[in-house]
Amino acid sequence: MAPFNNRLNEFAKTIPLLGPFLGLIVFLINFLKPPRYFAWSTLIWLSLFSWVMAFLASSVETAPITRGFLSTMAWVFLTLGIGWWLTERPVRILGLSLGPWLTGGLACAFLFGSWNGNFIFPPIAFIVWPLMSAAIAALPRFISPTFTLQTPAPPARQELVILLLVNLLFSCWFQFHFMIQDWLRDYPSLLSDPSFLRDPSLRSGNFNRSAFIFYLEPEIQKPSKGPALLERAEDILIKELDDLPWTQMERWLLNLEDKAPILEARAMASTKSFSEVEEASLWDLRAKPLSMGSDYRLELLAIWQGPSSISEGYHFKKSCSITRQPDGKENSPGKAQVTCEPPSGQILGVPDFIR
Amino acid sequence: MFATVFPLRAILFQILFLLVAIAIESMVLRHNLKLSYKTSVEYAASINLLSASVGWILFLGCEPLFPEELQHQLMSYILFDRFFSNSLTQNIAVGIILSGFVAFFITFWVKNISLNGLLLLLGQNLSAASTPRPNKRSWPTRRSEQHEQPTQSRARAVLQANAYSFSAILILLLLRVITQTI
Repeated sequence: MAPFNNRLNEFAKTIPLLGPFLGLIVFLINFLKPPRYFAWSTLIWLSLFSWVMAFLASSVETAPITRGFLSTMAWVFLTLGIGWWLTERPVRILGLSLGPWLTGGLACAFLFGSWNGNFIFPPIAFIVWPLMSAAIAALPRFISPTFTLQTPAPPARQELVILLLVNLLFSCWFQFHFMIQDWLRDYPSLLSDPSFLRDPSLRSGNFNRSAFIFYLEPEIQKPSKGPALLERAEDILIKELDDLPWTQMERWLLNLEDKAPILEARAMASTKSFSEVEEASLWDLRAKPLSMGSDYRLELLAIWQGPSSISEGYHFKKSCSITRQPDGKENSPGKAQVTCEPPSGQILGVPDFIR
Repeated sequence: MFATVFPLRAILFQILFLLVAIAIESMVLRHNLKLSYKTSVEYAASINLLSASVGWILFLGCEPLFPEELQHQLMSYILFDRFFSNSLTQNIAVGIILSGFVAFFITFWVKNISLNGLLLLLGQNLSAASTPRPNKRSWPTRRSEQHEQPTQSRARAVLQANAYSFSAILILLLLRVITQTI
């Protein structure tokens, strides 16, 4: 290696900027060069080799099984190599060695992860990760110097017990996190609660007092499902009432009390995002007719009846006005035309007539 | 991949409660069972970690089986620290007190079993008499055994330790409620 180094140095001197770069490469090669065959760096080289072969195979269009096999081997070698390296040189933080965690993480990523543009790790990867790290950390105790299985000596067992239990607790915490994520997926309106807003001026005094969670703000504030429900209700309303003769419309309004549940059911069924989540049962859709001179106004209300940080609850409102249109007949009151305003923002409190 | 709502506060609170519980229980175990400082801390740490894990597993396993209203109340409490008006609202106070009692006794049972299991695992004899309790009575008693069975003395020590650590956790929770309402 020495003559090669010398020649490399002479070559590097001739080109100013190349020097440090080549020096880095030489350093890396020296670092990774296996002192003997049976060492961790052999595995790293094997992993690199397998990866390069897999890359070549994918560009030459061999069978997927070859590519899969090669990339699997690359991953396995990488995991084993890093695990071995960390066993020889333990990196310790706060007295706990970092090795098993990293190795366990790599193993879980390999077993459960997938590549689809960027890495995707399902929840099970995180839940198994601490348990696998504990198993990897405990493994040396179970293997005697002659490479057979043994039960560890009693003094070492106490350490193992605590190691295993701490990792079990970590696994439970991860599972709790995913349980909360499932809740938020099934009930998306929980995220649009005012206590989650970062800007204090919008919160109006509702701070998030939870003893359990921290809220990191997303880039896009998720809108509540309420306005979507109101838009659907508006569509149904227009379909039912538009161009209807005036007297029929008035009769429709009189029977609104009976019609309300049907209206609600149809609005929810036609809202695509509602059929996918479970929170539909917590929304209440009401309609309140008001008379304004010769015309009518209909207020559609979507009331949230589920968990929220506001003790009075909140709702969304959409005002629709029903005006007369001449329908070309003599002596007839005309026909109805519905125009609606866009839905309001969150309004605190629940209208009186609901109670 | 990393979501917007993260239960970091729950983790921090649990670490705090575990540290307090381990400290208190190790002192009680050391006093009652005449163990060394290191051993009592190890025993207390093991049984507390195991009971915490068992509690989590029970909770995570039973939560999908709860009725829907109970799940809504749970969501409301975890995310917003309050209970909302729902069909179950009247039963909230009773439910909390009842679960407190149940939690205490189940934790004690788990801790007792895990202490015995730990001693077995470490290869120690369960029925070996630990140092006998000092005989405080000056006159001879009718009972044939001057010191109680080690199993009973262990159970009593675990019960006492559990009571103290639960009280300490209750005090911490009350402190939190008080400082929040100020």
